[in-house]
Amino acid sequence: MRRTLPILILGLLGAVGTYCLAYFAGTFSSRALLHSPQPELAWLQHEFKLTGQDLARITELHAGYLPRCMERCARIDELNTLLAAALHADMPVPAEIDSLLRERADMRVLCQSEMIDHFLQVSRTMPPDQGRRYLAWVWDNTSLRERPMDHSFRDATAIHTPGPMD
Amino acid sequence: MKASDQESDDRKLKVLLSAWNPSPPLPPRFRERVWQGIARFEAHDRDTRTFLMKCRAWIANHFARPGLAWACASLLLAFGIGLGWFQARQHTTTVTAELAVRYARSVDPYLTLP
Repeated sequence: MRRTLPILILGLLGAVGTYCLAYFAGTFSSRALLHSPQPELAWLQHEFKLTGQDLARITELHAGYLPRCMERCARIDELNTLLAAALHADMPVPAEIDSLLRERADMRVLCQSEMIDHFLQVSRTMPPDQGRRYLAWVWDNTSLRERPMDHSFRDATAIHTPGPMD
Repeated sequence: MKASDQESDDRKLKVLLSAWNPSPPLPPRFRERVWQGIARFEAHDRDTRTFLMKCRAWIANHFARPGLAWACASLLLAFGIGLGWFQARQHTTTVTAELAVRYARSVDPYLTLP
């Protein structure tokens, strides 16, 4: 008893110690990502194995792209407000609504087109295989790939056409 | 009464008292009651022992050999490493997924999350 109890206490303390050690060693890279100046770009570097030079170039592209993107978003918000006002007017003018819808759609096309340009520029900055991986990733994880349309409502309310057996 | 007479009487009384060996009868079922008292004391002792003492007794019973204690300590160490590693992996996965979403949202204003 005099020998076994200290061994077991040592084992328990060791277990706590090794837990902390394994946890802190294992989370070192993720904590470093979180504490970097631009965590999302640090993630990009980590995920696509980029060099410091690649990252510097991508950071530059990112910084150039964001203000243009925000400008377009602001314009789309503005058009949404105008569209709402036009729809809620006492006498809605279809031509005006049509024009606003077209302008908003054009702005969206421009926005998505710039987004794709940005993705292509970023992918070209990366090593070729990582660039391909990056494009596959943005296709899967951004709005480029639109969600499939939901046809369940249409199917559920389909008009029943009586057949010859009815 | 003279002092010498009193001394003689004391001596006689002392002799008498030392020779007196009374053996009063024991109360009925005395032996049985003594054993019952001992049993009660032992039961009370068993119940009032502290948790720590019970633990010590359990450890003494189950880890009588130091080899077994070392094996158990090694298992505890391995468990600590395993749990730490597992939780670190979970944390890393969560952080990575969160940063991926943050990147996607930073470049894609149309992104709507489910």
